[in-house]
Amino acid sequence: MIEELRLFVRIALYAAPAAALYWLLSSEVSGTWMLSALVVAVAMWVVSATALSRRRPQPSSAARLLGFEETETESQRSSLELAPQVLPGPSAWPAAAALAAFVTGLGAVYGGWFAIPGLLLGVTCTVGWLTQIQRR
Amino acid sequence: MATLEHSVPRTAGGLLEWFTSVDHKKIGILYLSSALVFFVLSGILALVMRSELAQPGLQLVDRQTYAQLFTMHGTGMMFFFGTPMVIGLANYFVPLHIGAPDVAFPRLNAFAFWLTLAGAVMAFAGFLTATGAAAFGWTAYAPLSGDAYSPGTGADLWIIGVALSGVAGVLAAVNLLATIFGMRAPGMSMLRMSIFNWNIVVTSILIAFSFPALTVALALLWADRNLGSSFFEPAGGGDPVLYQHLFWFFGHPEVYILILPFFGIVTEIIPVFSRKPVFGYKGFVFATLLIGAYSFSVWAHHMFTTGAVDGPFFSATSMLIAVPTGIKFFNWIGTMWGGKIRFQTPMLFCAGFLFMFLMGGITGVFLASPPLDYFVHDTYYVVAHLHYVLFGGSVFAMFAGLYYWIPKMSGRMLSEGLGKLHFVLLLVGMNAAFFPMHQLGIDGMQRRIPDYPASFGYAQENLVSTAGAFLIALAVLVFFINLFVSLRRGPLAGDDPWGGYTLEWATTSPPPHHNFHRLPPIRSARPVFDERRENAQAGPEGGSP
Amino acid sequence: MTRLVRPISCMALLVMVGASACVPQAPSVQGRAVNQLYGIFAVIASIIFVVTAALIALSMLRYRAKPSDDALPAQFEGNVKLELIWFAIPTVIVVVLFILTLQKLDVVTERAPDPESIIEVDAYQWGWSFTYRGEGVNISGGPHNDPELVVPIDRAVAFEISAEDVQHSFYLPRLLIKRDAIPGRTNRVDVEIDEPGRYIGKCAEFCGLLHAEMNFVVRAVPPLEYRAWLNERKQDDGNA
Ligand code: HEM
Ligand SMILES: [Cu+2]
Ligand SMILES: [Cu+2]
Repeated sequence: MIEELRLFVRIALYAAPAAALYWLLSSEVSGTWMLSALVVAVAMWVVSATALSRRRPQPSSAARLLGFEETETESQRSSLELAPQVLPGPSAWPAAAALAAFVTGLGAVYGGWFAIPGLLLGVTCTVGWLTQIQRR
Repeated sequence: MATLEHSVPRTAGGLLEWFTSVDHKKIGILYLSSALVFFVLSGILALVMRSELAQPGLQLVDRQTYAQLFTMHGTGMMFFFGTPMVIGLANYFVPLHIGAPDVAFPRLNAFAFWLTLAGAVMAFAGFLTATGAAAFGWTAYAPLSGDAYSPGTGADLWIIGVALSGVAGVLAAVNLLATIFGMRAPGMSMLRMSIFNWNIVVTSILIAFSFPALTVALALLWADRNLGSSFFEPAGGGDPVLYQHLFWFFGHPEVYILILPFFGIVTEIIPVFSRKPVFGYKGFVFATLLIGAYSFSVWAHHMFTTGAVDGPFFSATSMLIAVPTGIKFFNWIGTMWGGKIRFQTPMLFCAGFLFMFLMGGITGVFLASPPLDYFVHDTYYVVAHLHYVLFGGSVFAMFAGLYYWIPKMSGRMLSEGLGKLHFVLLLVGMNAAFFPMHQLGIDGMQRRIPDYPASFGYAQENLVSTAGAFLIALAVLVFFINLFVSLRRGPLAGDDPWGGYTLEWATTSPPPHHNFHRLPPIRSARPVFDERRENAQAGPEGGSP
Repeated sequence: MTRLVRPISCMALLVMVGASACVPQAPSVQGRAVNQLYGIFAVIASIIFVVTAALIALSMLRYRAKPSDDALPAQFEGNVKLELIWFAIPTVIVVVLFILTLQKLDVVTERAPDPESIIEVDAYQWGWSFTYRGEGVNISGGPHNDPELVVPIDRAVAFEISAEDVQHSFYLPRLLIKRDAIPGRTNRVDVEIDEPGRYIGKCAEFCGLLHAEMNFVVRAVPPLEYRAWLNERKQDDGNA
């Protein structure tokens, strides 16, 4: 298995016996839940990452994103240039979406009606953001 | 070697550019600037606290204001200075270290920054409300933080603000993980990454798996306050200790989130300034992973005095963390050993870090022993310990990193003279401010008190501590003067002013939009060093590496 | 190296004396266990601090670059054997500290089978209520009216600590002991004081506006005097 996934597996390998030992020693519920949830969450990472990689055995962009190509073998090659890549241009949607979250959050403090403009702005941002991605 | 032309996207230009940019370098600078603003704000709150505590009696602020001060000082430093500072440095330097043109999800990256800022503004906006900001400590223990005892809107603003920036932290962490796992340049295997990147990997994992516990705690607290539930209200069948479990399951990893990246920075700087490779690369990686894994199982060492947790279990796991930390210390010494160390400002701050963090780490082992914790818990001893770790550790390493990397980010060197002055003032000030606090704690001065009777004999140490705090303020002022002057008039840095090892030194200062026009071959953890050495061997004009 | 041993050990001695002297000797059985543990921790910690700090300082002083010397130093990348050694050393130290901790933990958490008195401590915003179980005596008070309770010396006294509203913490600085007062829970702490005197108590967990003023006093007196006091109080309370 590759180095990246091993990281998560190692954390699970520590947390699982820690959870068991914790329960045996203290019979304390909330801590046992949290440690077990950690093991489950880490396992979910590993499983979903593995599943994703099997669907795309070729080092395509998605698999590359998860770091599944065998980088060690490539390390023999000498000076390499980056593949040309188009990076996204400036976008106002992320900042606007944060503003939407801010206003919606005020709704949780001052009463629900603040949430209405917040959610409206949120929907606008999502639509705007997605169409911007589509266009590129 | 062919250079690559990238299509540089249109930019909006002017101030608007900063609002719309999705370039990881710009966002990194936004993170760093906003973190420094909150460092100064929270630091000013601390100065007011220290002024109040300088003598017995209430002179400057009333009790309620003092409670707001320490709450927002802790909150600001942990959530709006520390964490964003870490994410900002990672934002700027992770892609550069792995030879990538940007992060994996640039727009998400921008969103995470603005969300962090939104959360910070919301929490601090509490000061503008009629009842003031939150006043229950950065830990917000229930039931004190419930609606019966903290009725003001400042408390709700705090909850939502911290929750927003917590969510932003998770987004940033996932983005960083995806970047490191998926965008490394050919040849950059995991075990050739910089130690800084390794620390960011583990930090991101800690954020991704610990912040959700905070979100849950805050959501339940919000429900208790606003929906009438009683998760933490004993009257309604809830349990205050449950809140503490959730909070510290996040809170302990959080303190490692605030130190691991700074370990990483120090581990970048010491080898470069000793002109040697790091001693025990795999040892560093192993120790970092071990600290990361352990840090999930030590949370209740903050809860020994509740009498509701298993003392031996948490004592054992907490003390175990000293082992990987010890490995790091000796590997740092091993890195310097046999080198030729140049004491420019970044290295000076690393030296300060080594001594101060050693002090904080050692008092930490005391606190991991329940009988000793029963004695010093919630006293100034803990305040001393946490500032040796977070100020002497994280802040010193942060300044080391800033002196090391600002030339890369701006293209101009910071002044060495002012840098050294900054260092000396900070070192003296920090020890004057925080060392006497050990004794205050041992003598029984509790934390979070605005006043103490003259008869308790705390006055002398407190006066020294306050003087130290103002020296710290002076030191930070020197830093900002240095920054303003040098960014305008500092000497040009060139690509590689320090004789660096990692890929950020293979590009211009500041780097172009796509970061690299060409990459050196990556055959070890020190590609820039390797190339420099090869050039030197190939032609005599190359000079010494 | 050897000529450094003396200055280093002198420094260690200074730090150790400093580190352990600053904790006053506690006048109680449990407190003295803490004193002892703190002393051992302080000695070991001072040695670690001094040795590590000396190594750091030594490597910095000895290997600082000379202005004229531009050659690259030897590029060694590590030494697994050395690393294993400094993996082992802290492990051993930590195991020792942990075992010592366990021993003293037993002392400070041990419950006397038959305490002289059981005192129910109830913390509230902002004050304390102390009830002597089975004696019908209650002492309470808050800021500007610090409650003063009396306990016997040379006898174990049990405190059963709880809170009414928010969390507080029962803290006796001179006795080096503290335990949280949590609404809906009870914590028990046993103390055996052996020197008569007045010991100030405080609230250690932030509990709101008057947290800093939530003080109380524990007056330790000889057992006979204690009994007399208790009887007197009983009558006072009964007449009232
Ligand atoms: C600028 C220099 C600083 C000074 C003078 C200072 C001073 C203080 C003081 C006096 C307290 C205790 C307040 C009390 O308990 O009444 C405190 C608490 C605290 N400080 Fe600092 N501090 C500084 C920097 C920092 C930094 C850099 C961090 C973290 C990165 C930090 C994190 C905290 C935290 C988490 C608390 C606990 C807050 C609470 O009790 O809720 N401080 N500081
Ligand atoms: Cu912790
Ligand atoms: Cu209190």
